[in-house]
Amino acid sequence: MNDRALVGRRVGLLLASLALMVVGTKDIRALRAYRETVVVSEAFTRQAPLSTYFDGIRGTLMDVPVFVFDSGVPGGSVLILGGAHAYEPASPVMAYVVMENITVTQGKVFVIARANMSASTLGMLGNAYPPFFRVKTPWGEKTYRIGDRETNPLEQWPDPFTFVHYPSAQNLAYQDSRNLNRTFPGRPGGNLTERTSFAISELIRREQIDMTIDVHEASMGYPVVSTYVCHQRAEEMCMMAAMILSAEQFPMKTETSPKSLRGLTHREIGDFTESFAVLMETPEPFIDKFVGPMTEALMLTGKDEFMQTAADRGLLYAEYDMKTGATLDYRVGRHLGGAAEVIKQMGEFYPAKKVGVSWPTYAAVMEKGIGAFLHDPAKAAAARVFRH
Amino acid sequence: MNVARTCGVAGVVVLLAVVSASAAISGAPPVKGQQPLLITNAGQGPGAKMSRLLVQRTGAVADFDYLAEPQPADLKTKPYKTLMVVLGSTAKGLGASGITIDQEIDRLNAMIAEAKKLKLQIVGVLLEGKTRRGKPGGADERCIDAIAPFADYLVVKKDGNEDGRFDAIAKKSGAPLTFIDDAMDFSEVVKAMYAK
Repeated sequence: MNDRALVGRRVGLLLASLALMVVGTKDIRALRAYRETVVVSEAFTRQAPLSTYFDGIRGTLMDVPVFVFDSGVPGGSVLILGGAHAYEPASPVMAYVVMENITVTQGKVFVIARANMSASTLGMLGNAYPPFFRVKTPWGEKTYRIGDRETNPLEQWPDPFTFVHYPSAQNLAYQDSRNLNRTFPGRPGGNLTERTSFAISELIRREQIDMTIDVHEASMGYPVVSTYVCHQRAEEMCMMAAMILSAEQFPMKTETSPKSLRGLTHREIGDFTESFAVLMETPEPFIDKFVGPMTEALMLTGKDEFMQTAADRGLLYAEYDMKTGATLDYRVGRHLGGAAEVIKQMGEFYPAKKVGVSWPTYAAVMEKGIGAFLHDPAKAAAARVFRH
Repeated sequence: MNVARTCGVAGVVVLLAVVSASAAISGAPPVKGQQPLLITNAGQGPGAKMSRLLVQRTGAVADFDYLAEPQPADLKTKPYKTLMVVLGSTAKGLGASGITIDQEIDRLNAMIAEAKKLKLQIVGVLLEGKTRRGKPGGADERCIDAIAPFADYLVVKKDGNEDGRFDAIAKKSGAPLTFIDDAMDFSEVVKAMYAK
C-alpha cells in the first residue's frame, strides 16, 4: 500500500469514527439538551439561582433555580429537595406537582426540583434504560428525564480511589464523591457535588428553613423503603406522621438517622443547620437489581414478574403485588401525602413554625393520576412557565 | 364501701365501653398497668420511641421513663412496677447503637431475668406489626423469642400476627393478648391500662 492509499485509509477510518461518535452520542446529547417544563401555581412569588447562596457553583449545571412560594403570613418554612438522585424520578415529579398546584396560607415553601441537575443528564452505566419517560395528561404528554444516581462525569471527573467525607473524614465509596446524598454538609473548596451540597446548606441557613424534606425512591430489597428517615431533632414528628399515614392513607415506617453514617441529608442538614431534616423513600421496582427489562413501562407501572417472585419468597421490605405494581402515581402520591403530613406535624409540635400549605392529596392522585395535576404550558401565562 | 364499689363498677363499665366502642381494639381487654413505668425496646427499632410519644400524649401515665438499652442494674434505679418492651429490630437502630443483634439478645436475656427477679409486670408490644416481623431466625423473630414468652401481657398490631405466632405464645404462657388495628390505637390501650 503506497503512502497516498495509507493516508486515505486513515482519513476514512477517522471519518467513520467521527460518524459513529455523532450517531452514538445522539441520545446523550438529546438528554443533556432537553429541558423539563413546569407551570408554577399562582402561589409562586420568586425564583433565584442556587448560586445566590454560594457563588462557587455559578455557571455550572448545578446552579439550579430555587422556587419560592411565600404566603406573606408569618409562620414556618420548608424546603422540598427533589432530584438529589435523578434516577428516582418520583422525586422531581413530586416537586413539579407541588410547584404546579401549591397554595400557601401561612409561612413559605422553597422547592428545588432537580437538586443534582447534572445527574439527570446521563443514564446509569449497564442498566440500559431509556433516557426519558412520559406522563399522560388531559392535554398531551409531558416528558421527563430519568437520569443517573450520581453527578455526570462530564461535570466531575476523575473519581478518587476513596472518597473521604468532609468534615467527618469517614471513608466512603469512590463514586460517592459524585453522590449528592453523601456529600453534605458540603464544603466551599470541594468538588462540584460537595460545593452543591454546601450551596444547599447555605440556602437552608440563610433562609432559616425550619424543615428540609429530601425526596427519594428506594429499591424494595432495601430495608428503609416506604420510610421516613429523620434526624433526632425531627424523629417525633416523623413518628407521629408515620403512624397517622399508616392508619389513614398508606403504610409508612420511620427510622432515626444513624449518627455514624455520614454525608446524608438526614444526618448533616440536621447537624450543620437548624433545620429539621427529613428524608422520604418510596418503593421503586425500576431500580432494583433483579427486575426484568428496565423499560419506560416498568418506570411508570412498577409491574415486574421477578419482583413478584422476590415478594413471594419474602425478600422485600414492602408489600408488593404485580397486579397493582408500584405506579408513578402511587409513588408521587405517597410523597405528596408524606410531605404534607410531616409538615402538619411540625405545626403541631411547634405552632410558631406552622406552614399552611396544600397540594394534591394521595387519594386525589390515586384517583385521577398525576397527569391531571400537570398543566399545559401552551395555555399558561408565560410568567408562570419555567424550563429546566 | 358502696361508693367505692359503685365507682369501681362504673370504672369497669367505662373501660369496657371505651374498648368495645372502638373496633380498632380486639382480643383480651387491656390489663391494668402500674407505675413507675419503664419503656424500652427489643432490637433498637423505633417502636419504643413511638410508644413513648403515644404514652406521653395520652397523659394517662404520670410516672414513666424511657431507656433505649437498659442493663439489669437500670431496672433498680427506681422502683419500677411495669416494664414495657416494644419489639422490633432495625439495622439502622442497631448500627446507631453500635451493637450487633447477638449483643442485643444477650442484653435482653439479662434484662428479662432481672425483671422477673424484681417481679416487674412485663408488657410486650409489637407496635409496628408485620413491619417488624421477619424470617425465622432473623433479628425481629429473635427479639420476639427473647421477650414475648416472658410477658405478662401482650399488645400486638393485628397484621403482625397473621401467622398466629403471638396466639401460640399467649396460649402457652397464659398472657392476655390484645390486638390493635393501627399503631395509633395503642393510645386507647394505654388509656385503658392506666384508667383510674
